[in-house]
Amino acid sequence: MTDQVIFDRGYRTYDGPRAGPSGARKAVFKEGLRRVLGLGRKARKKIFPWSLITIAVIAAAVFVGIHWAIGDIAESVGEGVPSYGGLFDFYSAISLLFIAFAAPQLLIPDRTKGVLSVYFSRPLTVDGYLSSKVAAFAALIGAFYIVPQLVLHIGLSLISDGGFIPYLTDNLDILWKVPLTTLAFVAIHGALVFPLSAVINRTGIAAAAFLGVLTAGSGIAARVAEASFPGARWVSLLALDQHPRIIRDHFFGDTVDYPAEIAGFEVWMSVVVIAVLVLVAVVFVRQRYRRLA
Amino acid sequence: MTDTVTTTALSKWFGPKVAVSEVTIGFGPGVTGLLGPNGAGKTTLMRVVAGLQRPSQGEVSVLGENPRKTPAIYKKMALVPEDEAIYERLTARQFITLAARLARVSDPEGNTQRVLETVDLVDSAHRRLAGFSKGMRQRAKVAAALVSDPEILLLDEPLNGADPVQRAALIKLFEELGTAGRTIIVSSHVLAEVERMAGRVVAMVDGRLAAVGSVETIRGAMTDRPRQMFVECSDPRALAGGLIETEGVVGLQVSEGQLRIEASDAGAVALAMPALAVERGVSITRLEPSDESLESVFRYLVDTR
Amino acid sequence: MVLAVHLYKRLMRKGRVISLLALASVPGFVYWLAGFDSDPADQGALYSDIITNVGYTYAIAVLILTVATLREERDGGTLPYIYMRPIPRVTLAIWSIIAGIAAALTIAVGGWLATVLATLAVGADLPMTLPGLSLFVAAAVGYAAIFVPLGYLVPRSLLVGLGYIIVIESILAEVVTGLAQFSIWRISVSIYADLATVLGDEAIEALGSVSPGVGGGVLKLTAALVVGLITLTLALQRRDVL
Repeated sequence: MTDQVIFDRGYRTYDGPRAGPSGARKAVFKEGLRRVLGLGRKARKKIFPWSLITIAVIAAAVFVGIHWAIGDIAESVGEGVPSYGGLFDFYSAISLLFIAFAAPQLLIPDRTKGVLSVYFSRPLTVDGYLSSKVAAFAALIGAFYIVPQLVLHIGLSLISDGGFIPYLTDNLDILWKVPLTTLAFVAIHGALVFPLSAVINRTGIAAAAFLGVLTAGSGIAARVAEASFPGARWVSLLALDQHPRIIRDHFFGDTVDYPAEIAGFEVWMSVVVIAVLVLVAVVFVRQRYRRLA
Repeated sequence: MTDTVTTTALSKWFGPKVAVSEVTIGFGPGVTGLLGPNGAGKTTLMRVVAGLQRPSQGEVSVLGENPRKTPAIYKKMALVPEDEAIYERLTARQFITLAARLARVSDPEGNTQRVLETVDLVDSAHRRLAGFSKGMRQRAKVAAALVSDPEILLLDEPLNGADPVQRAALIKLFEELGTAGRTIIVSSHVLAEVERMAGRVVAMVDGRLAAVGSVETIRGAMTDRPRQMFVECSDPRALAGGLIETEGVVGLQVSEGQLRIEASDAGAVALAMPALAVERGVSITRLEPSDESLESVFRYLVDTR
Repeated sequence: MVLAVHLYKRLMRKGRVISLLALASVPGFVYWLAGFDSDPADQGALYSDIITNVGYTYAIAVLILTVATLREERDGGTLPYIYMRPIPRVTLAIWSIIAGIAAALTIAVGGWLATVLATLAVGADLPMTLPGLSLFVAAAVGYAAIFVPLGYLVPRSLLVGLGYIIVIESILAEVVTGLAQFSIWRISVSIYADLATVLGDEAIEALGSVSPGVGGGVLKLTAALVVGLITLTLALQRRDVL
């Protein structure tokens, strides 16, 4: 009778610290940032996101230069050089491209490459996974909006006739207006692009669908806002991109009249629309991923 | 026979990764097995020969033409790719007929029926490829390649997913095509089956050619490695006692009823065996080389890199 | 021809066609909503304003479709089944672009018909919609000419295409007048503007610095086709397929 022998081939269990669910969420969050920004990936994966970021930041720096050239900040704003509120509009097309790129990158590859089951075999719930993805989206898009604003703010502080600190203290309201406006932009766009990215399996198609829906909604609302058929004014709310701008105007002063304003809605309606859309998006995406998990 | 496919100092790299390095080889009529571990460069070599990728250096010639410059050559060459990509929305018949039409085959429908019968997919021909098993998809791909009656057939892991009956049928088909004078280059990890159908083997390791020839000639060329022989006899110890003094014997291993010999000169040992057996009163029931399989040749080639 | 039919059928999947037709029909839908309240005398101007401005949804639909012509074959790994055929590369390129144009034209006709139905619904004059077809058709041809090769060449072709439509055509072409001449949308609008009997203010604005003219527009689109064809042929000859 031979003895049973188990040979030690060097396998070792892991004895180190275990990060648990919060560690798993942090890892998903960090991976999301890296994937969108192309960090730790080939150089060509960085071209698209970083060129958009560079354009946005350079635009802010250029405006600081123009303000400085004119000499008086109030005068330059009066002449139409964008300040804080206007900067949101200036790079809106670029920011939409960035959003159209980022959100599908966060959600779609995990599904199409079949690694969703790998994620959910870890101490990670569907809610944990999705909240990490949302956090990564918010961090990326938030930074995309806020960093140029920061460049503008610091630039204007530096060139201000009154001096750096006086300008900062005189404009403390910027420190909450810009983030709140940014939050409105992030929320409305996230509420649209996340559900699309949750059901469409190709990143390019999801991006195009996001931009198509925005364009279609704006087109419809712009034409129909003043029509007289029953319910026409409610159609004006379909221009989703207008709602964060209406909130922005509430903080920074009116620019143009948006379809919802033409239809007679107050700013709180935009807040309600954003909140409702976010809620619907959360429920929809959660349901979708619960079925997938 | 003249080679129909030749590569001359062929190299292919993707950035810093060299997938194929200075491969000079010719393929002629008959079945040639292309072997190598994962990452050896077999698929890349096939793709470059097929004209799907440009050589980074060197040349490819198919029937005297560069396939990338002369698309007309595709009338005579076909590839069965390794990956499972296929037109899932088409039925098998539609897929093969499309291949026939794109290849400008006369009577696409008739030829489609012919190859469907060849790969035994007639009963499933009306079904969409999306519903096919892996083995059935492979057969559909083989059929699509055969529909243009190519002179040169490149098969990248064609037996993947096929069940034993299908494998046997496909191997028989490839053997017949090779015997008929077509150039068949087949890459596979299933060494026993390559050994069955390929009269010639090209082994690649790390992008380079490791060996070319039949299994026996490759083994014979490995003079730095003792040959292994297996003997079944009535008294292995007695036979071993005689063999130990025989020139060319490097090592002996005795077990019940069996003797394993390592010989630097297998021929000399084989010649000496009968006399030794008679001298020691040993009856030998079996004597054969134990390391001339493709598997052991292949393992040696890979291990020594 | 077999190749073009195959690529066309692959593009015209039911789900895709329905969603793209919906997107392409947005101008018609918007005209229907806005047209009810409009003065009959202003219908022509309103129609032109809407299809030249809201028509960007149609441009996005055509982008999605045409960029997929060879991109899907490449991404799906089925390009060898097309490539390894005794077909000259230039012929392969021609049939691929034709397939893209045919698919885009299908959507074009759908989008245009939506505007026709809307015109009927609001009771406006049907003849004013006829020149509108030229806008949809010209855009289909022009976008296919550049996006079919783009789809073959560039992995993120949809995003690059969206960048072209949104950044270059919508924004930069307004600011940099020279760029407007390279805007497929503006070229298409210039053809439409030459044929339309009435143009609204927004339609004239959509033209930018491009002058109305069928001849000039057709010439520019032909140039786009030639450039697209040459680019795709060279790409098929020189780039790795896999």
